[in-house]
Amino acid sequence: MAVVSFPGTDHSTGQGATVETVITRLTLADAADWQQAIAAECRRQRLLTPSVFAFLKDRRLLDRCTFLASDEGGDALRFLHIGEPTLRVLGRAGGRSMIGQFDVDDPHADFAHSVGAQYAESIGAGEALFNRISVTGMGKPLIYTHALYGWSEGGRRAVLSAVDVRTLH
Amino acid sequence: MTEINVPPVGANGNLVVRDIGGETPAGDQTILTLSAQLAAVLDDPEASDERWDTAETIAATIPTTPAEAVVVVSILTNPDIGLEAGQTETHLTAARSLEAGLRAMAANETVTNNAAAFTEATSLFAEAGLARMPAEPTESMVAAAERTGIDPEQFRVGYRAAVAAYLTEAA
Repeated sequence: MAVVSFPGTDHSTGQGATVETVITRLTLADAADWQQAIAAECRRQRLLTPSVFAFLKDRRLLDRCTFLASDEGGDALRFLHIGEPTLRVLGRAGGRSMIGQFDVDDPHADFAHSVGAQYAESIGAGEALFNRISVTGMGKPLIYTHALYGWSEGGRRAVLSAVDVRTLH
Repeated sequence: MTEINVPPVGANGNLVVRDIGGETPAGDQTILTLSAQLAAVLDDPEASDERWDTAETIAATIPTTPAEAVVVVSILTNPDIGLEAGQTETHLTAARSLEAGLRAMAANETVTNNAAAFTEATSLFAEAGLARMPAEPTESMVAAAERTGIDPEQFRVGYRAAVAAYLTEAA
């Protein structure tokens, strides 16, 4: 079990909370049943097609998923569909991280970059990644899990993130 | 898009230079018209030289559609000039062109379909996301704002900030 830690630092004044994002790589066996189901279906289908979307919709899982994709010819992943859990999680973490590409000047850049690195790793892997993420220093501590599955096709990239915040207090 | 350049052959020069799946430029001498020519000269016992010129031109052309592939393979199967009538260099040329064309078609078809499916799936997610709150203003939103005298770029920036604030608020 790999543990990836990305401690945030306050570069300016030394004042204010230090944002710490700890990403713990777990196996899919630790994921919720519905996260496992999504990962299995993505792996089975392999390609990103409308039937991935149809699967999520039919199983009423779409609302629990966040979907990011790069524009044609663009590099940055943009949030195209924001699931309810992500809205809550990232709402706390700063709405700015939500829109467009991650901003290095964002006070929550460490959080955004750590999660972004996970997105990047999932793309084209052909396997789902499952992580537990804990963030401290941005309001109340928060913990959630996400199962990630990413695709790459003709220079475009996309990531599906199935977010479980049952552990979020 | 892939461009397939056919090397100059005989007196006809470049025969097919086009995008796969694209329209055949009007006026180009296509392999299909060559096919008709070949059929005509095959009927003419006097035109023995011409039939081989035409056949070689066709054989050296890499087909970009199934219909063109049929023409190339006919060089191998034609009862008058095909393998049956005796094997020549032209037949090997035709077989190689056919292979190259089919490979390109197969690769192109896969990429096109996968890319199209990818784009379609992405749009579905985006549309489902739009129902909640579009992360970026749609073109019609930008246009509507512009009609009220707001600069489109400023509107985009302002809109993003407004959505970010809303998401934070909603959370």
